[in-house]
Amino acid sequence: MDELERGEKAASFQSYSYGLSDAEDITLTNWHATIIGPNGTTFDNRIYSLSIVCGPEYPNSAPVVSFSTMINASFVGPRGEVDLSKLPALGKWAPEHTIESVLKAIIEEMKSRSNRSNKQPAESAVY
Amino acid sequence: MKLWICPFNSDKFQVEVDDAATTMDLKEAIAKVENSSAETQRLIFAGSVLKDSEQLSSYNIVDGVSIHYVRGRAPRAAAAAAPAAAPARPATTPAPAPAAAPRPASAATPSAASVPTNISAGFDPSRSVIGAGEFSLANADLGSILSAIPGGLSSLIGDGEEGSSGLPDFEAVNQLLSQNPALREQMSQMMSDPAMMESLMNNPMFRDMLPPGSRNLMSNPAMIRLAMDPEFVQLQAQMQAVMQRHGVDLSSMMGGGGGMFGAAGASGAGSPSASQEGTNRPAAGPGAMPSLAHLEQLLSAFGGAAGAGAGAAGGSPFNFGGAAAAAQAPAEPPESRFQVQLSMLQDMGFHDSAANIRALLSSGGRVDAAVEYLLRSPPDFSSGGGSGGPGSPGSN
Repeated sequence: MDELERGEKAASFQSYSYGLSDAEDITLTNWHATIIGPNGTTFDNRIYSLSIVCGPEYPNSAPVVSFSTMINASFVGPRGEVDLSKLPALGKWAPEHTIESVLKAIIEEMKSRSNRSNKQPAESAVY
Repeated sequence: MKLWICPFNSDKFQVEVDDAATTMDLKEAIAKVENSSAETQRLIFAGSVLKDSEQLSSYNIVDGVSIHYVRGRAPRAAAAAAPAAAPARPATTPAPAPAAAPRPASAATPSAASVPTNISAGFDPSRSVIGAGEFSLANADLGSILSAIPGGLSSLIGDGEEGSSGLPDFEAVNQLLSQNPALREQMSQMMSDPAMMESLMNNPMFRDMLPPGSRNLMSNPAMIRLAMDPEFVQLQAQMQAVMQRHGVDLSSMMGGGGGMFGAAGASGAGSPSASQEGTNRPAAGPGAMPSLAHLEQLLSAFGGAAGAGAGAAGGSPFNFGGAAAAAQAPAEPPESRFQVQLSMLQDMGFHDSAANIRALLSSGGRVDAAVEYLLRSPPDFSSGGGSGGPGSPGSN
C-alpha cells in the first residue's frame, strides 16, 4: 500500500515511475512501471515500459518483472523478462526489497559498463 | 484540477486543467507554460505513458498528483544553442536527425558518406559519458568514428569490453591513422567543420557532459590538429605504457572506458591544486605537453597507486578536464555532480552507490580519498579495484 502511494505521489522527478495496472486491483498484483533511460547511455531519453507481477508471496518472494518495450541489455531475456539475479545492485531478493528498489537496480544496471553502449532496437518496438 | 508537472532534470511546476481534460489538453497547457510544442511531450503517470486521446481521469489522475514529463526529441535550430545556460537541461536537447547532420562537402570516399550519420545515430556513450574534458572527447570521436566505418576497423579499437583495459588501443589507432591518410584527412575535415561540431555539441550526450567552456576548445582548430596529430596519438600510447610500468591499474582507474585524460582529469578536479593547474589553457601545440619524463617523475613521486595516477594526470597541463569538471554548477545533486567519479568507483568494484556518494562527499570528490574512505568502512566491497594505498595527489 505504501508503495502504491509513493508511486503516485513522487514528489520530485525520478527517472522511474510505477503504479497499478488496474486501479481496482485490490490484491496489488499487477503493476506497471516506466523507466526513463539514464543520461549518457544508449538508453538516453527513451521511455521503457515494464510490467511487474507481485504474486501472493510478495514481498517474501521476488516479483516477476518484464520489459514491454524492446531492450537489449544483459539482464533482459529474449521476451523481455528481467533476470533479477543479474542485477548486482539488488543482490539476493529479500522481503525488504520493493518495486522501487528493483527499478533502481535496473537503472543502475542500464548504466553499467556492459550495457550502456549496447545497440538498441527501434525506440517504440514492443515485445 | 491542479497538477504538478515534474520535468526531467528540472524543477516541477503546476498547471491547471479541466477535470474532464484529455492528455492532449494537458500537453497543450504545458506547451503554453514552456513555450514548446505539445507533440514532442511525453507524460507518465504511475508507470503509464499517457495516450493523447485518453481522459486524464481514466488514469486516475486527480487534483494534486505529480506527472512525469519527458521532453521529446524534435528538430531544433542549431543556432539556438545557448552555451551560457550552465545546468543544461539535457532532455530538451534533441539529437540532430541523422538526415540533417551536416557533412563535409568534399568527403569523397565511400566510407565518408556514412560517417556523419553514424555520429549522430551511433555515438558510443560508454566513452562519452566519462569524458569531462575534450581529450577524451577527441578519443571518443576517434573510437566511435572508426568503429562506425564499415570494414571491421572497429575490432582494432578496444571497445570497453569486460576484461580488457577499456582503453582504445592507441597504437592501433596510430597505425591506422598513419597508414590511412585519407581517413585522417576525413576526420580532421569533419572536426574542423563548424556545422558538424555544432551538431555534435548539441547531441544531448555531449551537451550535458560538456561544460560551456569546452565548446570553445573543440572549435579551436589548433586543438583539433593536436588531437589528430599522429605524434600525439603516439604519445598517448607511450604514456599508457609508462603508467603501466608503474603498476597503475589503468582499467580500474579509467572507469567506463573513457579517454584517459578525461577520467583522470575529472578525478583530479576535486583537489584544489589540480583544478588550479587544470585551468592552464591548452597552448595548442605539442609544446604544451608535459614530457614523458615529467610524468614518470610524478608517477613515482606518488608511488604508483591508482589514486596517484589519477592525481598526476590531473595536475599536469594535460588536464583540461579538471577545469571543465570544476566549472560544473555546484548546485547539482551529488549523483550528477559526481557522475564520473561514481562510475569510476563502480568500475573499481564499489557497487554501493549510496556509500560511494557518501565517500565522495566526504572526500570532496576525490576518487582516491573516496576509495580510502570506502576501504576503511568495509561494508560490501566485492572485488577488484583498490590497487594499493591512495596517494596524495593534492600535495604537489
